Formats: sequence, structure tokens, C-alpha cells
Amino acid sequence: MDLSITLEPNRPISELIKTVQVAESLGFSKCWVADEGIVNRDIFITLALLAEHTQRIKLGTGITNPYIRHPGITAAAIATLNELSNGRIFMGISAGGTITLNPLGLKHKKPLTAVREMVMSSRSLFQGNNLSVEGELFSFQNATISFAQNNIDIWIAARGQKMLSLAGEIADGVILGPLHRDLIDDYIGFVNQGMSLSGNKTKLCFTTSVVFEEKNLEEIRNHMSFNLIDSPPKVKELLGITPEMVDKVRSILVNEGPDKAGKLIPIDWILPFVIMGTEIECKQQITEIQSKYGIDDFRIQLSEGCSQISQLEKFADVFNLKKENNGD
Amino acid sequence: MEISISIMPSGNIPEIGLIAQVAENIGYTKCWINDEGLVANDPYVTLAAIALNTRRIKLGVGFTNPYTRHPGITASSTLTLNALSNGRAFLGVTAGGTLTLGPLGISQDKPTTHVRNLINACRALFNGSHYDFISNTIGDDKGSLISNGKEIEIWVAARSPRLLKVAGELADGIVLGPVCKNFLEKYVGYIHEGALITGNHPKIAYSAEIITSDQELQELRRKMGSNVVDSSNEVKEMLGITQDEEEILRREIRRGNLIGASKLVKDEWIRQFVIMGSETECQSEIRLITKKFNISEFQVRLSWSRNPYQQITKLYDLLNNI
Repeated sequence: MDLSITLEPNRPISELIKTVQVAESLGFSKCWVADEGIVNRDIFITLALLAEHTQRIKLGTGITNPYIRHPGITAAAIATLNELSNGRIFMGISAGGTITLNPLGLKHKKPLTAVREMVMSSRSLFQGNNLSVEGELFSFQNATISFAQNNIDIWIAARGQKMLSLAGEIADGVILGPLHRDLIDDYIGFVNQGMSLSGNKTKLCFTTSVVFEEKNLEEIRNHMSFNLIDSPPKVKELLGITPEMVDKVRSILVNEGPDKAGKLIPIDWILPFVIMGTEIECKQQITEIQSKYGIDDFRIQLSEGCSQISQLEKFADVFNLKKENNGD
Repeated sequence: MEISISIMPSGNIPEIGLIAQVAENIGYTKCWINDEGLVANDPYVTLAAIALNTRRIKLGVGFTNPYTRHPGITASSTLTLNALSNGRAFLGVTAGGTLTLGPLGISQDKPTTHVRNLINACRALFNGSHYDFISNTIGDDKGSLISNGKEIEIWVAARSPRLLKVAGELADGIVLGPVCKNFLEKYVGYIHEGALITGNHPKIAYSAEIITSDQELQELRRKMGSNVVDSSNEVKEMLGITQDEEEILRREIRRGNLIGASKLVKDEWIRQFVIMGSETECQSEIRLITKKFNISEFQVRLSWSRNPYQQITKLYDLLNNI
């Protein structure tokens, strides 16, 4: 199983470069960079600089969406980065979340159609095709990216039943998470349903926060504020999240940010999503999930509250990364 | 007069970074990277690489449009570039052309309104203000963007009367070109009309190919098709372009057949858009234009058909000796 990291470009790029260089040297396989619209720094500039300062680690969007740029523009940016990084780029997409779309006044218009059209058009352009298609949401006329290379994996992040099934049907990889642990079997089942429709064989990436110390749960409340309000109905039902609560959290999230919104999230809502315990216990839980579901990539959400480099070193140590992966 | 360089990012990025570095050393003050959708490399990835290779030259997209990215994303990308380059970023916007929008199936809907909203949104976000993208209004609250970009200049490339007026009204600078030279006076008049509305004092840059040989003229032919079809009706009328000629040209560009399109472009059309003659004749013509219209910047357009280093050296010398 690969270990990868997610970065939010919320700090000066020089700091992000240092973190990713350390991740690369420790043997982490991928770095996913979040695309959060105007909330953080530009994702493609960030990825360009990471590409220029690393040699082996794979780099990609983690995750972008079909609404804030025309999918053709995203495909061209990905193809440009792939060339710049000597083929180390992958693309992660989803239907976009509240934190990204709301400040831009954008709505989730037909998310399944939008994601399907984005995946199919991007793949066609990466294959070097001349694309002419009149989609429901996006069109292309004699479109081609002359410098594209056909080696770019497309991942879909999904939590809803239909999106999981779509991901199984068309994506090279599915990003699962953060997931309520009681629903993992259901989620994997939806992915399998999609795969059986097309005969696709998709990779699985599992992502969540790993908590070694209980005090770190506080920070996760902030992340979970937007995750929870965008959760599928079944998750909300399991946790007892009412529509009124969703509206309240969304309003504070949009107007005052995740730090304030996080204060409304009870710890009990978070516990089913995270992996928590001693280092040995966490490793055991992750290994169990990996072997039960055939997870290819475990994506770690680094904490913002303490040194990210120390966290990387700790994970590398717990998972014996140096010994296992650095000989590549 | 400032001398700047405009680059279509269709070469490999390390080479573009090197060209920008050489241009900086020669004395060019600004580097404009074209945003042409699928036709060339992503402009922001390219600009990020250039920022790493340079220290003084100003950097910006020239020109992006309101359609292919949400205006908030354009603002965020420019602010990121500004932080990365220690305050060297600027932004160039326009309504988008056939070459960029055609392959993406995007029509140029309400161009003036969209460019106006793009400028207002970017300026608000650069100033750290909140911008409501639903009502297109500026709020007083501090926005959530990453850094302050009050110093970031917004330039507009325009040719239509309405867009030139909006540019005069709102922009820090306007780039004229490639434009039909016979209409320069009229275009500058529209800019002044707009500027009068707000009391704005925009700078004016002039952008044109400098052609000193027949070989250069033939090379330019491929680029001129989209300039011609995207010209205003009065320009097409003055050039004597028939509707049939325009239709065929537009169709070939949409098909991506730039070589086929180039064969349809007549010499007399091109002459109206370029500075052409011996070096001395070119210098005289540029001197006249820059003096008459108070041009503060001449934008050199890099051609990939010729040695880029010789080209930028030669053109800098020509322009610097005016």
C-alpha cells in the first residue's frame, strides 16, 4: 500500500515545498494538493513549484471540480504540469464542496453529469484525440491538446451512492473519505456496482485523519464542518444531524470560516470518521482496512496544529516507509 | 517608453523561462504570457516557472478572459503569482477570441459586461475586499484571500468601441493591438471617452509585429487569421473582407487548420496590423505612433518561427533607439 499526503496551499509556497521535499525523501508516494478556489493559493502555481523542486513524488489535484474552470482548461493545466514534471501528474476531481463553491456564488449544477463529462473529456484530451462533443454542461469543438501525454490517472473523490458508482464505472481511482466507519462496506459496494457496469478496475484510496493524541481532535472539527454538511443523507441520519444544524454550520462556515464553524461540531460526530489511538493501534486499524478492502493508497490528512514535517517523520517511522519504499 | 515581451507559451517551459530571463537582462520590463486555452501551455504554470528564473521583470497573463475560469479563480491565481514573485504580477484581460473560446464550445456572451465584472471582482479581491459574485457587488468586509495585491495593475486589450470605453473607465492600462492602424485615433478616442466618465488616467501600450523582411511577413500570416476575423465590422469593411471570406476563415480556424487559414489572409490585410519596412522606417513609424497617442509601452510579440534570442535582442535595440 502506498502512503500519500494531502496539502492545503494555505501557507507560503516555500514552506509547502519543504514539506513535500521531506515527504519525497521519506518515501511517500503522492502529494494531493487541495483546490479551494479563493480560500487558498492557486493550485496550479503551487503544483508547478512543487514539480520544479522534487524529482520522484507524484503530484496532483486533490481535489478540483468541474465548475470553477472549464474542464478543458483544467485538462490543459494538468497536461502542462505533466510535461514539466516528467510524467508525475495525476488528476483528482469531485463535484466540489461548500467551502470552494460558495464564495464564488457557484451551485452544484448536475454534479454527476458534470463529473462524468469532465472525466471523459479530460481522458480523451490526454489521449491526444481531437475532441468534438456537445455535452449537457460542457462542449468541445475540434479541441486537442498537442502536448498531452496518455499517462495521467484520473481519480474521483466520492461519498454519495451515485457518485461512488460513477467513480467505479469510469475512474482510474476512487478516493474514499473521510467515511463513517459503519458505512465503508456500503461505499465499497457502490464502487463495485459501478465497476461491474463497465468492467473497469479502479484503484482505491482511503483518506482520513489519524489522531495519536486526543487534543488533536479539536482541529479536526474545523475540517469536518464542511465535510459533514456536504455528507450524504445516510451519514447525517446516523449522526442525527438535522437540516437546521446543516444550515447553521453552513452559514457560519461561509461567513466566518471553518475555525468558527468547527466549534459547532460535537466530538461525537467526528469519532466515527477518524483513526485514533496509539501509533501501534492506528497502524493496526489502517492495516485492517487495507487488507479488508484492498486499499491501494492511504492518504493522510496532516494536522495544521503541529509541525507537518514531524508528522511525516512519525508516519514514515510507524509504517517503516524508508525501509520499504526508498530503494525505488 | 517601456519595452515588454509577449510570449505564446507553446514552447517547452524551461526554454520560456530562459527567454524571459534573457529578456530581463536585456532590459525588457514586462513579460506577458498568452492564455490561449488548449492551444498552448497553461499560463499560470508557465508564469510560476518564469517567476523562479527572474528577479525584476513584471509578470502577467496577457490576455485572459472572463469565460474559461471563474473571475475569482483568476484573482486568486494572480495574487498567488504576486506573492511568489515579490509583487511583480499584473493582470491582462480581454473578452477572449475565437482561437481560445472556439475549441471549448464557449460563445462570447455579453463580453463588455463580463469584462467589467471581471475587472471589478479582481480589483476588489486584490484590495482585500469582499466581492459578491451573485450580485456582482463589492462589499467592505475583508475577504478571505491570501495576500494584499493593491499594487497589481489590471490591463485590458480591446478593439471594440464598447470595450475600449469600459477599459478607459476602469483599467490601469490598455493594450492596443494588434489593431488596424487606420483606426488607432478612433480607438484612443473611445478610451478617452471612458476615462472621462470616471476621471481615470489609464496608460496605453501598443502591440504590433515589427516586420523587416518578406520571410517574416510570410511567417506572420498564420497568426493573422484570428486577428482578422475577431476585428470589428468597421475594420473588416475598411479592409474589404467579404462575408464569404470571413466565414471560410472562421471555419478553418475553428477546425484548427491554421495553415489553411493563413492561405486565405491577404497581404494588404496584414499590412494594416503591422509595422513594416526597413529598420529605420519601422523606427520612424513607431516614433510617430507613440508620440501621437502618448504610448507608454511597446509590446514585442515573440515569434516561435525565428531564433527567440536573436529576435528579442534585435527588436529591443530597434525600439530602444527610437
